[in-house]
Amino acid sequence: MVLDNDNILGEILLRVALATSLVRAALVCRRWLHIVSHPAFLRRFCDLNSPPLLGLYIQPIYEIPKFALMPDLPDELAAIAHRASSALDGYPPENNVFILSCLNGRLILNLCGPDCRDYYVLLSPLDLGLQMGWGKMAAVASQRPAAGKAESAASPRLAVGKAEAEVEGKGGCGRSRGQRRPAVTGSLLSASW
Amino acid sequence: MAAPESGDGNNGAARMVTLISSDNTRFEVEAAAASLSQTLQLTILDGGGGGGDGIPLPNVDSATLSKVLEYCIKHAPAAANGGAPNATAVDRAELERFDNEFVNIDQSVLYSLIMAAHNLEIEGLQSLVAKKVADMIKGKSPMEIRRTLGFPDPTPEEQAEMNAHMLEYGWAYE
Repeated sequence: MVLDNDNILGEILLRVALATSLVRAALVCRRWLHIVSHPAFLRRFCDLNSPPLLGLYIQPIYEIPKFALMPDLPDELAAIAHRASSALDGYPPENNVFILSCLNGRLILNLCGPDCRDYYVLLSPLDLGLQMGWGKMAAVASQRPAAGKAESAASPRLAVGKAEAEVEGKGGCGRSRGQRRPAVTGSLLSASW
Repeated sequence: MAAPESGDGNNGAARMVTLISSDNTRFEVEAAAASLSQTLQLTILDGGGGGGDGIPLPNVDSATLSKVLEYCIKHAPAAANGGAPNATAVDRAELERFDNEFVNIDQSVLYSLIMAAHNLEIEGLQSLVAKKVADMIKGKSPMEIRRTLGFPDPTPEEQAEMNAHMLEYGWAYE
């Protein structure tokens, strides 16, 4: 049987072109999964098939950015494109979501939290892992005002937010918050203090 | 066709070589066409395959070999031009049309072809057939792929494993 030859099967699977097709093929059986999981195979796959452009985020002033799909996307990309288009659905308009940058499928968002402070969020609409990270982030942001005093929020950015909330919860020292504040207004880089 | 042997199998002159399939059918083709096969090229450069000798190909039957040679003869002129830098758009379109027609064949023939292309190291043909089989896989669910390619139904354990993976990679299935 031809497909018992790993080299030939590899040549075939290299040419399914879309990552979605590759993932489906990977589940056909263990041997196929083994072949497509090999780092050398994945490198060749990426060299041979550049990732398709799903669409563009359009940023109207004072509105949540909208995702415009590229025309004529293959059906099997519809789900993943939908993920990109619904990634910002959870934000109410008053958050003033603004896309600062878009690179390699990731977005850096600037948004106004419920406490009227600037937040910076790294969002990867296509990547479940990072999206969960963002979910946690959003939860932290939305709990803030309820968690107590309106002034409680020194700026949580990215993963830093959670650790900081814990620190504040324990210490609750106004002075330390005051010291941190200058870093808050800065760019994303300030998140890594 | 009776040009003197030039000793150079690559120049597209009418030097002929004989290939012998597994069922002992003899095929006489231009050396330039047979040289699309990396495996045969060395033998041909060494002067093999000419006269009454012939190059035996014990892994390729006559039906498959005639199909392989059909491809090689069609593609030999372009290959002789070193990837055809001076080929016209018409030539390229014609080759593309030929390729599309060429792989419009039964699955079992496709498999024999890709196996032969692999053994004979004919890169263009292997790539062409691999693309065709890949197109049969594209956009299908793992179960549909199994059915398309004639795999037996999965065992309950395999099925459970597939289901677990499908949950994990939901984005590829929505």
